Amino acid sequence: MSSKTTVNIVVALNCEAKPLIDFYRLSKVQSRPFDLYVGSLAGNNKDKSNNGELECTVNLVVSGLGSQNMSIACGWLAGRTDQQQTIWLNIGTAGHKELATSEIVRVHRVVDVADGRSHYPALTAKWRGLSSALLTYDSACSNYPEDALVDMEGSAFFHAAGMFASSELVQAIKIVSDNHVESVERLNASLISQLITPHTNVINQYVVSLLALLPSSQDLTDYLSMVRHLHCTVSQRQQYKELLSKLASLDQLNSQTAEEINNADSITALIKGLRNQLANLQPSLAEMRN
Amino acid sequence: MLDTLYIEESVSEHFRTQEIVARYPAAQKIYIEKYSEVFNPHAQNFRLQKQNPALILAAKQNKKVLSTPTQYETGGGANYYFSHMLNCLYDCRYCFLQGMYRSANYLLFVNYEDFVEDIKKHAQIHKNDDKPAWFFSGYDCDSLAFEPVTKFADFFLPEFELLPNCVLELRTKSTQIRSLVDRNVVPNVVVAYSLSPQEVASAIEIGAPSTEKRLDALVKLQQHGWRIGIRFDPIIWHQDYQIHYKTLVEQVFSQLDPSKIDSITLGGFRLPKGYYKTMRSLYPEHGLFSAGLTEQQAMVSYQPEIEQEVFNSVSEFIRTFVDESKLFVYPSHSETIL
Repeated sequence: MSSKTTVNIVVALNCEAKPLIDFYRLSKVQSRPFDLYVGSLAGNNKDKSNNGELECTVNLVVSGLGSQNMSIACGWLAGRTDQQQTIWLNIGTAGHKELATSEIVRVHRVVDVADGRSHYPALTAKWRGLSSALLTYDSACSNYPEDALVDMEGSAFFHAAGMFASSELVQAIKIVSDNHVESVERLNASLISQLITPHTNVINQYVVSLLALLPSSQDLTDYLSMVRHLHCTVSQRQQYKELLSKLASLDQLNSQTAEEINNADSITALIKGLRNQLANLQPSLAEMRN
Repeated sequence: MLDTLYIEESVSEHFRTQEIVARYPAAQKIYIEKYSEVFNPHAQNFRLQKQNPALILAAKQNKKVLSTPTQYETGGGANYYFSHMLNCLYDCRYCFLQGMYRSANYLLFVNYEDFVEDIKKHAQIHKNDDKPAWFFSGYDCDSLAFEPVTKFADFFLPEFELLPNCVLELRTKSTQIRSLVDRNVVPNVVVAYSLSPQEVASAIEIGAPSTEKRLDALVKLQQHGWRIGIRFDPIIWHQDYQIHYKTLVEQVFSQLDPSKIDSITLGGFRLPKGYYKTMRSLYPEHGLFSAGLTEQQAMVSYQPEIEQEVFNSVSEFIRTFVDESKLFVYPSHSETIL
């Protein structure tokens, strides 16, 4: 996993945010246009694949109720985030006809009731709990459908966050807050926080499962910055980056390459030189192993 | 182990669906209207999904049998292919499926009977041809790897037995051959194995049986009387490739009777340009996509001189064991079968 990973958590209400702010020890950094809390996912979390600590930024934004707020909050947060290795998670409460309050459920299908649009998030990360469809309504719903959660933001979250990350990394977890016996009217901020608090460890385990999906990324930053002294068009910069990436995959980015780059008089000559270097390489099987 | 089954509502009562679902009592079952809702959306990452694919059970609509590109043949007359399944249990880094599909989920079409109907229609068209019509299976999946679940060969072999003017070629790397060795040989079925040197297999054919195990399966099939084919495809150019492929060829022909091999094919590493770009973006750190390649006519393949050298070397090794007429070479400038 790269060190540049980010977990973007989007919740509708401050009371839904509170247990997560406490768990991740997040700090408030902004309150307009949305409350934004930032921290890092480290400490108790061990990345088993690398035998090291997870190092990633956690952003939590409070969108406010409804689809429009959710869409805008996702777009706003995306604008602040490096999109390369980002996980998006919607945490919140939802109603369900039959499920007991406080059940935690991963969403496997979301339907926007207003337009009938349906989306199936890719369920790649491991999840051992319940799973359900989610229907998103424009307003609070106490007329529960059969066998589906109901909320007011889920569909907008998947639609908006799905613009910035692949489906495997855009997920929603809902905690059942009301059902046909325990009505939505009885809910208050304190009760909502109480419903979510016991599940913070499970939510965190799921975050870790999502992070474990991410492959290591090539870090070409140092080499990319070495051509600051050269005038480059956008196309030349892309060609240069592509060549660097190929050379890195063949384990050929070394001090000699760095010297060639630093001594280059023009990007055209540099690209030509790197192409020649690449043309003479025959890969070894070691460079083809994952 | 599969976590998730997506089931098209139209096939939920199909006996084959129910048999497969019963094998996975712990998997969550999600009912869908059309497989395309799960398989086709753009914002999916094949590499991420490959870590834990789901199984989609669906019905194949429209055309089920397609013509192969004109240059692709192994001795038959008309050449067709069909895919009862999309995506493979294995994770071979060179596989074009990574570039073709957005989803790595396994998509199994359970309406085998409809495939057979289409195959019979094509067989009828070619009933007076001099050469048999050849039907390839295993280009969008491995024909046998999922056999315990799909029972694909179990169903299709008896059907082809009734079509003597046709040949079914099963393309595989799998050792799941029980459904073949436990029954009588079907003379118009060829079991074709993709083979790579063990060094290549262990580096880039992730999850596939070792070369030795594939050879064991081939030996059993040949001893049992099945027609077999050998596919050195794609040949992977790398340091020491000559030593590795020479060893492989010697290994193959020391264990198999060359006179009883149906055909041997050689193919280079080649991909449509769009697939190549997708695959390189999925695996930027992988050396396979970085050296020795060139782009011609919207295809990415080894540079002509590299490919020529590779084909010359490997075919020379092979010719010391088998007759030239059994060897088919597919240069990259011919169309790739998709």
